[in-house]
Amino acid sequence: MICRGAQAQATGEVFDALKFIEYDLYDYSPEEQAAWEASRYAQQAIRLDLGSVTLNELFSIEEAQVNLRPTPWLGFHLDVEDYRTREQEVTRLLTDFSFRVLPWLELLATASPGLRKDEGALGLGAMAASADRKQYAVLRLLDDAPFFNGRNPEGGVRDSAVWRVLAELRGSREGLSAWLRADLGTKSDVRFTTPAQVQANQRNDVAFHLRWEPTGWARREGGFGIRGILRLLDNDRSELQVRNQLRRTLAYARIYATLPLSDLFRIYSVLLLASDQGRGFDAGLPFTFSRWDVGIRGGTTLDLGLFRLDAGYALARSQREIQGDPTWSGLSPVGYGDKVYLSAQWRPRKNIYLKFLISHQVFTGDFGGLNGSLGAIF
Amino acid sequence: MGRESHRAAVAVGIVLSAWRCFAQIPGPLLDPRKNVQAEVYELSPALRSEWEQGRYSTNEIWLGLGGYHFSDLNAVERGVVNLPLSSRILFHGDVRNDRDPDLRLTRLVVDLWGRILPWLWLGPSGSPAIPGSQKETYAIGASGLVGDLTRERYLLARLVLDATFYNQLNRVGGHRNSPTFHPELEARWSDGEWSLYSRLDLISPTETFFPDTRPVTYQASARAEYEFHLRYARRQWEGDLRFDLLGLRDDRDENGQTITNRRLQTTTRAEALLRPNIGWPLALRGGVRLLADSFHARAGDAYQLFRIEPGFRVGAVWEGATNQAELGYVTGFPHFAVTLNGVQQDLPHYEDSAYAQWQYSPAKHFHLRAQISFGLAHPGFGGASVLLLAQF
Repeated sequence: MICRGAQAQATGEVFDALKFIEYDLYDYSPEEQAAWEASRYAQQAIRLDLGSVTLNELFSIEEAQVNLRPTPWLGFHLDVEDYRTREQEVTRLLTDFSFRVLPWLELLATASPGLRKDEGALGLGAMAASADRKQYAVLRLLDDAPFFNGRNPEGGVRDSAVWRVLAELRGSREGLSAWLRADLGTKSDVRFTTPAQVQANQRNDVAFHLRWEPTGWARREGGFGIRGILRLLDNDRSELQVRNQLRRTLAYARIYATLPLSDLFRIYSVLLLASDQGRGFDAGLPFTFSRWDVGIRGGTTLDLGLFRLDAGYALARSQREIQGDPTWSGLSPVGYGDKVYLSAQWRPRKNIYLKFLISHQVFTGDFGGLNGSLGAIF
Repeated sequence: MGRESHRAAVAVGIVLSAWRCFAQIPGPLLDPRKNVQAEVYELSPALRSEWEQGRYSTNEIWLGLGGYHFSDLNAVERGVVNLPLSSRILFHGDVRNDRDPDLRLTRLVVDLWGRILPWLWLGPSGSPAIPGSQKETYAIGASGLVGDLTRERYLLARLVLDATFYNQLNRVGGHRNSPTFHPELEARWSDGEWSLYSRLDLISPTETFFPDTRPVTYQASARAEYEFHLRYARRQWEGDLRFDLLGLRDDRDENGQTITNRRLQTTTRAEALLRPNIGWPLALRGGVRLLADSFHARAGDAYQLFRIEPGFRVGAVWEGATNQAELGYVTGFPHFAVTLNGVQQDLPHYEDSAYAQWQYSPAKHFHLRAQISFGLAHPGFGGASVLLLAQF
């Protein structure tokens, strides 16, 4: 379960006024996300999503899931994830073998096969699911890299095991659906002798989606809801008595409304709220930073059946502050970012789409970036 | 796998490493046991043929993990997706994440094909990076697939430019004078009891120049991979002939020193499975193989390593409806010829592994396999492996 955290310093992404606009713009729409949540343990799915962030970097989500049931009592679930947001990069392959003990209850043997013996994870879990497996509660407990000590080729030693809890829940009733995913882990402290170094990492991620589709709107993909993430990251590295550390708490919520005006037109609006608080040490010197963002996105969708056109505008205001890092002296306490965008979609089948988006920054007059995505649930 | 068995397995490595400068030779090259254990963990020819058949017709997963040494694994993580977006548009994705003690390959390639003729699909191809955040590593190209109605007989041709935008986007100041071509050819033909599969995957020589301030100022690499599999299968017996080739080049100027590494490895196998009519669901497996590995390197000293390894495999298979059990024996006779600055030394060796495996196939295209092995010539635990192969 590989996670590459951001550098232990306040890098440019921390104060990028466009960051949360891009997180929203390049992400899947609430309707696409809701369909994916319902499919997590019932169908196969692929999602590839790539969007420009800087000249060299991409916002990237590469995901696949497989659900097979070769016999009524034995199931197999596979999750492949390779996603990169500005503050972290996670690459993971997770497999579950599920053994049905009651019509609604399955016990899970879970593994995250690593390519080296010091990698990977082993665990157990349980899953309660409805008959169509679109409502579920999954809980797994994994021992992350259980064979790390003695097998790590760099000679790293961990004093205690690292445990991860993976939980995913979804329930729905009469147009109302709720989804929650938690990926929580204890701290990994690794000591190296040559060179003398201590590394400590911890990652906790929670994502949720609460959605309401009024009766009669589902066919036209209208609805209201809130999506959010809470991310706690701790990356600590001490070498030659010099400490670099970054601990941050990032919260991001999106409150949305999509109104179907007719079979042809929909309008939507999203309120963006974000907070990013961090502290740590840069080459031994302490620093703290904070950021509060509020933004809004509005647009309209023209639904032509096989094809969709979408256009809109997003604007965010960022309040930021940093103390203890001279690199950022003179940083304006308030920043603004905006993007106007146009996207085209091809939807040859239900829950299968190809999307292309182009954007422009109105305030600065700069090119805003491209985004392409493929989503398929089958 | 325990430290004791590991100690026996690297006996040749210890001898060679004691000779001056052989410590420069990567350890796995000198490991006499490596190929015997890889042979134990191999897919059976029938399962391999199933994988080949589904490459462009269905969705597949192949996950295999086997223990080598105390800290090493032989790992295969592969997946294939063939998703018809409409009757005329097909999405194909191929992901591969393989590792053995001295080689590692991670790749994701996707194709979006349009059906031009009933038997011809053409379209763009791309290779998103893993991890996916660095634009410099993305590859762009095109491909075409010729196939029959089920796409179980096919011919694929793909050409992508690896790291297409490397010069503009890399962050270490690297520069390449020419693009990296990555052509691939893959074909399968079958008729009745016969099937033939072949795959060629080439990466053209890539020279990268870095600023003088970096430890590595020049790097050149290339890769060639080829697979061939001819199979004849009927109820009474199956016969398979396979040939694999891997060529690698990795040259660099590092801290003012020129380092060159060239490697060519070939493996030829012939295998058979016989089902004698004795009233029991029992089959006999037998096979021979010949491996040749040559490694030329220069890093201060010049050295060459030639490894010739003949070997054979025998086994007895009990074939139930959904369960299959196999007991077998694999052996290899690795012979190392090492030349250091013109001085040659020969080292013959002998390795073997007795294995037991159980395969559970609750559905036609869903197979789980667990395996355990023991060394007999150098007594000790040989390693264990698990495998999942599924089509859906």
